[in-house]
Amino acid sequence: MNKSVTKRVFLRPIFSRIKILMSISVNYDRFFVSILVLLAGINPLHANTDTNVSEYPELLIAIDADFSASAKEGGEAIARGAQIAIDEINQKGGIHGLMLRLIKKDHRGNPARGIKNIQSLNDVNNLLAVIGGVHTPVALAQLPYIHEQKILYLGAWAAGTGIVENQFSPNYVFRASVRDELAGNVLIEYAKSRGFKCVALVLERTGWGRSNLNSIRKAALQHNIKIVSETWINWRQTKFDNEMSAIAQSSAEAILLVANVPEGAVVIKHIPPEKKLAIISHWGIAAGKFIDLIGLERLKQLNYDINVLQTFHFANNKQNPQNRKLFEQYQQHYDAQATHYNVPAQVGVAQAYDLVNMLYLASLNVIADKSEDNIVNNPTSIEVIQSLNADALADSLLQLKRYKGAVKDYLPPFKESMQDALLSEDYFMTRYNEMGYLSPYFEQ
Amino acid sequence: MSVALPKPAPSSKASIAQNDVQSQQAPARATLYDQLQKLVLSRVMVVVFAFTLAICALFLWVGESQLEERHSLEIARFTDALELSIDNVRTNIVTLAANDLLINAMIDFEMRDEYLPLFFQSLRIAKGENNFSALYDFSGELVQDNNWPIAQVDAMAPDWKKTVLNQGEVLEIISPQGLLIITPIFISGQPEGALAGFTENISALMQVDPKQTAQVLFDSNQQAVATTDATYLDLNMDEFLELSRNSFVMQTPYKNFNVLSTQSFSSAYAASIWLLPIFLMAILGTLFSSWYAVRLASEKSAETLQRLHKSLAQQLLDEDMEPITHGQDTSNDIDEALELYNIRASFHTLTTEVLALSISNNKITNVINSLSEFLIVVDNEGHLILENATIKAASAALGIEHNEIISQAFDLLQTDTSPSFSTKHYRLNEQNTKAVDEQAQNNRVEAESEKSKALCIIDWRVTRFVNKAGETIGAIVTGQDVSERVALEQNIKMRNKALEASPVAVSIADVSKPWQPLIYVNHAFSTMTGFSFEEAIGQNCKFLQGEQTQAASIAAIRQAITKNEPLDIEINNYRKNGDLFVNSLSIMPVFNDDGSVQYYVAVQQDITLEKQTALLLSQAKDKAEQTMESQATFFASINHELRTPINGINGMLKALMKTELTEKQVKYATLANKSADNLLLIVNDVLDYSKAESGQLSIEQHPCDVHNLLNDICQRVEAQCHSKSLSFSRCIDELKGHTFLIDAMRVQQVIENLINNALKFTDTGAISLAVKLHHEQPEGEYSLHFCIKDSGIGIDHNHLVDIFKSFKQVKQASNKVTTGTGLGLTISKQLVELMGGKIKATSTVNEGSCFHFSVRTQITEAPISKCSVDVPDLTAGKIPNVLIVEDNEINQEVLIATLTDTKTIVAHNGIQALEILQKIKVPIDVILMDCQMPELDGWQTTRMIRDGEAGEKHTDAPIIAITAFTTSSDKQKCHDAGMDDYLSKPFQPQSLQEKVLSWSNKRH
Repeated sequence: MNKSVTKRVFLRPIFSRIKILMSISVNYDRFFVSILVLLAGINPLHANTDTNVSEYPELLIAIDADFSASAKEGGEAIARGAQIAIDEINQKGGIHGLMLRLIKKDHRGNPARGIKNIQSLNDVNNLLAVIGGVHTPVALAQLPYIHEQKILYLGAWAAGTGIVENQFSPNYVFRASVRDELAGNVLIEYAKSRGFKCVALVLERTGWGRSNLNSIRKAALQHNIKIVSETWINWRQTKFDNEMSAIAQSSAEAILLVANVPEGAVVIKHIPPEKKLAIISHWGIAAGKFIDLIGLERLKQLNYDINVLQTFHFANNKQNPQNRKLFEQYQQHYDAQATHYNVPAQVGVAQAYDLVNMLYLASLNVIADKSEDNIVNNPTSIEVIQSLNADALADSLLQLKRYKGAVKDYLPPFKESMQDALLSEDYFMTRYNEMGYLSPYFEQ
Repeated sequence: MSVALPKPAPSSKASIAQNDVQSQQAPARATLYDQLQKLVLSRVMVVVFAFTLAICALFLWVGESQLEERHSLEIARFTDALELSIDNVRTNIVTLAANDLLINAMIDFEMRDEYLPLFFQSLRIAKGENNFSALYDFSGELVQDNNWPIAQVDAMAPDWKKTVLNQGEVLEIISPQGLLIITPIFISGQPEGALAGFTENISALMQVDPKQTAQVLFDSNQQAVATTDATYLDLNMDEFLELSRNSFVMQTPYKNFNVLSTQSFSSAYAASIWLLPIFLMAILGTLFSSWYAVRLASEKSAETLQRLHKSLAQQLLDEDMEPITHGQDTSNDIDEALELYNIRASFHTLTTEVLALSISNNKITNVINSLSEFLIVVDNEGHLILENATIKAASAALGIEHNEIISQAFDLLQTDTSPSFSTKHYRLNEQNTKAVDEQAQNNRVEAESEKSKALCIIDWRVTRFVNKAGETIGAIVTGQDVSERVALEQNIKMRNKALEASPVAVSIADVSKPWQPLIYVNHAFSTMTGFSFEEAIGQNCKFLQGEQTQAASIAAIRQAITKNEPLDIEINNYRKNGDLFVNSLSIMPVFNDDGSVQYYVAVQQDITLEKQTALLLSQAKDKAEQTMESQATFFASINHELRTPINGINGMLKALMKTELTEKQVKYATLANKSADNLLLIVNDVLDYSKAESGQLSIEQHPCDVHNLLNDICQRVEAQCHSKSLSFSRCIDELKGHTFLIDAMRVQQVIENLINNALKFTDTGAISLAVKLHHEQPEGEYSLHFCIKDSGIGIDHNHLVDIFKSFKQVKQASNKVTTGTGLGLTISKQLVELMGGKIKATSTVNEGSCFHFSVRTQITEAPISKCSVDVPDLTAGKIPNVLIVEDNEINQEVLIATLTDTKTIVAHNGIQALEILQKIKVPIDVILMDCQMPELDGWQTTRMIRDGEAGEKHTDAPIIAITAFTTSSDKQKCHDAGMDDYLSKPFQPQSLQEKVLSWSNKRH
């Protein structure tokens, strides 16, 4: 902002010189001298402006997610939701005439790669925000770098509480997804609603698992549900016999599962068929081809009693116009055969879609704020880009009053005290149907 | 070895006189013992030495191979241990990398710091000190480590990240610095980090028991990597080899490395050193026992041999007087070995028998060898038992391989290998003479003599070889050289065949017998006469004779035979079928060595056909000659008969014109005269042509001034041209001053012919005559080239080729009437060709023609005979008296009318002329003599005049032949008869006048 002010101050003497030159008629000597002076003065200015504009013809939104490993379906869903939103925005003329473009970064679920990806965005000046993926450990590992590089982080999936409730200020993290400390409560409530008194916990040995343990413990205590065992599963662990036999021998009626697709599948596969254990799962298993791993047969053996926490389902709120529009766009762009059920990892689609749209609204507000500034009526691209920094956007996001999204009617989306847009009332349970697709619990 | 031995027996028992004599004669010889010792011991030494060498080599070879085997085993153990150790470390690291804890640590970013440091602090990837480990993230950043020597690892494997983190492969480096293993940590199948382990001392990894051998692993840079013996650590290969100079070293490649195994020689061969003294003892023992055995054997053998020698010597001394009995010897020495005794006894018996045998054998051998025939005796098995010396002698003499002669005999036997071969031949030889001959024929075998290159033929015969019992025990083959005999036979056969094949009939008669019978006739004789051999043999030659046989011929033959002379004669003979034939007979006596004649050889040839042919030929020739003659006669008479009347007409007309005539009469007479002239020309042409066609035309060359001749012609032509208003040019000066040998009359004829043609066909323009002289080969030969050119109507190109053909007159477009026979050019061509030249014409229609011809000639210095008529002085002198001898009255009149300025007397024939001459008083200046006359012709009359039968005064009177015979032979005939000049009929009056005047002037 300071920079643009300086430029305008510098422009004034040049304009006045031109006026003076125009008024001089016949004094040639002075005319030539003035031309030289004029050229000397104008050239650097012009060159500078032109290069800036050509360098930033567009605005970028990065998505850093797993596009190749176990949760690539989640990553792809987020990217599709974001892309549909970007296409809509670009159709409306972009942001102040600048088109939006999505760039993908693949962290494969590896925090070290996630950090590398964030670092690689350091030099990108026209970046609006980074949309995060499924993995909480990656997001957690990235937090210091995000804040150090002043990048706006939009959480489209990873549910770790610590991601939003971090120690950084200003906090550049905004999320439209599950918040683990609230999810635990939802899961326990669901167990209670099913009449279970004793549950076993199986959590992955990561930050995500740990953040859920606390919230579940708290909720269980609160709802008088007894946690009979707490079992950890490592990433890519393939054996779970001992752990499962311990669970089976316990009095647990259900397993509360906090794990991603591969580890979740390992747990499910190890449940003894005679032991009718209900699965009440956090949504990690919905981020990949979970059913492909366990098979429909296994699903049937378990009486289709695998219940998954979700925030969104196309079938859940069919009347919502945003929802309907999003589904149509999805069908149009990605899968003409798509139904409300078979869109993989559909929470990712909807949440990313909503986040990009909210970012758009926030950006418009930032620019609108700038327009109210009386210094110049029509800001240049470079000015727009410079104005759309993380601080301004974070401010603007917090200032958003309402957004009618696909997931819900955000009213308002964020508050100073809560940069999570979806709260426990927005969570609901779904269950895998005979086809292996998640369907809202109320339908069953 | 230098043990003193008693000298063996020989010298001590050498008291026998003969032996002494022999000893003195023979060079000093070593004793059996000495020889054996020298021979056997030296060989035993060599064998023992070779054996020792072989044993040593074998020993070394076996020891070496055992050592190699052992070291291979040690190396295998070493590499196995090394591999096992490295495998262990690798397995440790790989297992750890797959450990959930480590994988989780890659993801559990925030909490891992709590457990990883402790984990790595306690982590030992291998046994021993100095081993380190480290954990890398996906980008190769160090996450956790345990004293990890980063710099060293980077130096060892600068590209490890590519291998491990990009390609997901385990990296393993074995180097002198140590063992480095880095393995990827996979998450979801992708390398998301790496676990690395490093241990400095690879040797320490291995569990190796202390041994006498040591193994060292060298890398490709020859640096020691691992070893079982710590002394070799940190060495390079050269240093190692230096250390192992006195040791056994074996090298085996192992992967990219080399394993060297070493062991000091002292320890390697320790086990077998003690064998050496035992081995030496064994050799010495062998040598000693050999020496001792030699000594014993030689002593024993020498003793026996000495005794044998003694007995032999004694036997020779005693001759046959007293055979030595064995009993005495055996009783003397029982120690003698049985084998040696037996040999001595057998030898004794043998010598006795051999002596007896050899005497009778010599006699038989001498007989056999003295045979002139080859003798070979073969037993039933086909083995050669005996052959006589004749074969070898013949082989040397004839230059035939001895073996070849023998093998011939064997070949003969082999063709009869049936069991009965010998009996068969026996029977044939004994009973059937003819068959024996055939057999003999068959048994002849030919061989080519190397010396003479002549064929040598041997006649082989096979006879049974029987023993006393009459059993066949083999075959006796005898052979005889019959080459000469066979050659003779062949020679005779060849001559017989030649005689038989001869196309000439040959017969031989035995004239020693009274009947002189034929004893041989050949095939040609039979063919000629029809009598076969059998019919002819025994007959006298008369059986061919018959009625027409000339008695003279028979007598001549008889006489020749009586006188023993040869004779060639033709005689009429008769064939068997009675046909007569002319026999050209040659008989020759065959003389014996003593000069007597027993046989006559007759060679006959049927010449009947030749005779007939010759007869026919002579008849044909006669006929042809007659034809020619009659032809010539015909020409001559035709010539004469035609010219004579023309001459008459001509002369009469000219005479007529000299009389007083009316104008009309003059005109008619002139026309008639012209017609007569033309007729004469035509007759000349026709006659020339006829002569040319029948080959009667001939050329007579005389010296001639051609320039003058041409001048005359030109003058006449000029006049003619002038009358036709044509211009005439000539170019003839080149010939001026030369005299040519030429037939002037014929040249003139050709030129005039051509000029007349030119005049005939040219109405305007010019005519020219040119002549050139050309040199020809050979030197001195020339040719005259004439060219007659006109500007007349010309000849069409198509007709040019025809103009020299007979009876061709070119038809003219203008239909101009042309006269003449059309023979002019044909005759000209023939004349020119006769004169050795050529004629040709070129022409362009309406522009004119050009005729060229050439004539071969020579330049001569001879005086010129008159080739053009001299112009005599007609006015001079008195009027001559001319005798005309002419039978034709018209011609008489013509001559008289022509010779108006002379006094003429006419005789109707030769006889009359002679009579007139005898009677006449006035001198006759010229006689004009017709040649062909009745009673007495002109030639004969002339001869008679010259012979003086008409009076002496007339013998030299000039006689001019007036004749219609125009050929040169006619002329010659006239000349030969004694005539002085010649004028052919019809003649030009002027010519006659000139000749008459000229000769009459000469007369005066």
